[in-house]
Amino acid sequence: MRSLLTLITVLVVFWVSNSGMFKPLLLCLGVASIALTAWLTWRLGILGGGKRPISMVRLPRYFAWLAIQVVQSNIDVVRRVWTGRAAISPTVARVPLPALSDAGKVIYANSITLTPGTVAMDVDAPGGTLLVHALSRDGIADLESGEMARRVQGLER
Amino acid sequence: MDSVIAIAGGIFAVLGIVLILTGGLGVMRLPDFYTRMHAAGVTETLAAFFIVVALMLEVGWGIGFFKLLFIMLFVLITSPTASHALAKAARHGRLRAHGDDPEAGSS
Repeated sequence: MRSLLTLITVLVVFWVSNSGMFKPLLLCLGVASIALTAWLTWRLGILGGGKRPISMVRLPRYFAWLAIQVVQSNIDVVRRVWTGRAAISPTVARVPLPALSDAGKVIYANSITLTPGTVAMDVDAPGGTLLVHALSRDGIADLESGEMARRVQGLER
Repeated sequence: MDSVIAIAGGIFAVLGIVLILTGGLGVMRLPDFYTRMHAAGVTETLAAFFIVVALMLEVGWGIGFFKLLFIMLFVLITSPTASHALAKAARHGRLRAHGDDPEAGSS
């Protein structure tokens, strides 16, 4: 119940700060969409039980590191696109999935997909691995070095 | 000061356009579905970032600035999710990947 109220509060603040208008019609639309979102979230049963496995304090540092990785891999993919087929070596591989909470897995898999050049294809593949498609073998090698996995693990308490 | 911001905005917009063109070129030039997805990844990360920053410099401080910030945030969260869904669907449909694929069709 408490997390539902938190969700509704956040949604109200978000709606008001984005619309900035207080005409009755728009307020009614706001109430309707917030009610729908809250009902859907409740029905899906995905409201948090109060325990957050990810440290919000360490998250900005991770995002800063991830931003640098995203820029580097963008430059890499741009170079390969302009060079052509000679520069790519498409690879499908299984990389180890470290012990992580569900939230940690989401962050890890989304980080892999967010950096161009690697896409997570299957998360809970048999044997606790992550199926990844990469534009080049280097992308798989980078993941296998495990730095990203270590950093995501560092986010968990 | 205003012209400095305008020029910086223009530079960011041009960088974004170059990256979007690169993404488009990659989508046409790379050999298969999966590799083309990586090219689209350029358009949805750094290119989107440059375009949003250019627009931020254009609209200046205000409610529009924060709306752009939210757009950036949502693009960064939803686009990898969509890419993953696409890749998973293609894999599930046993679409063969070009190149090195030790377990084609097994998952």
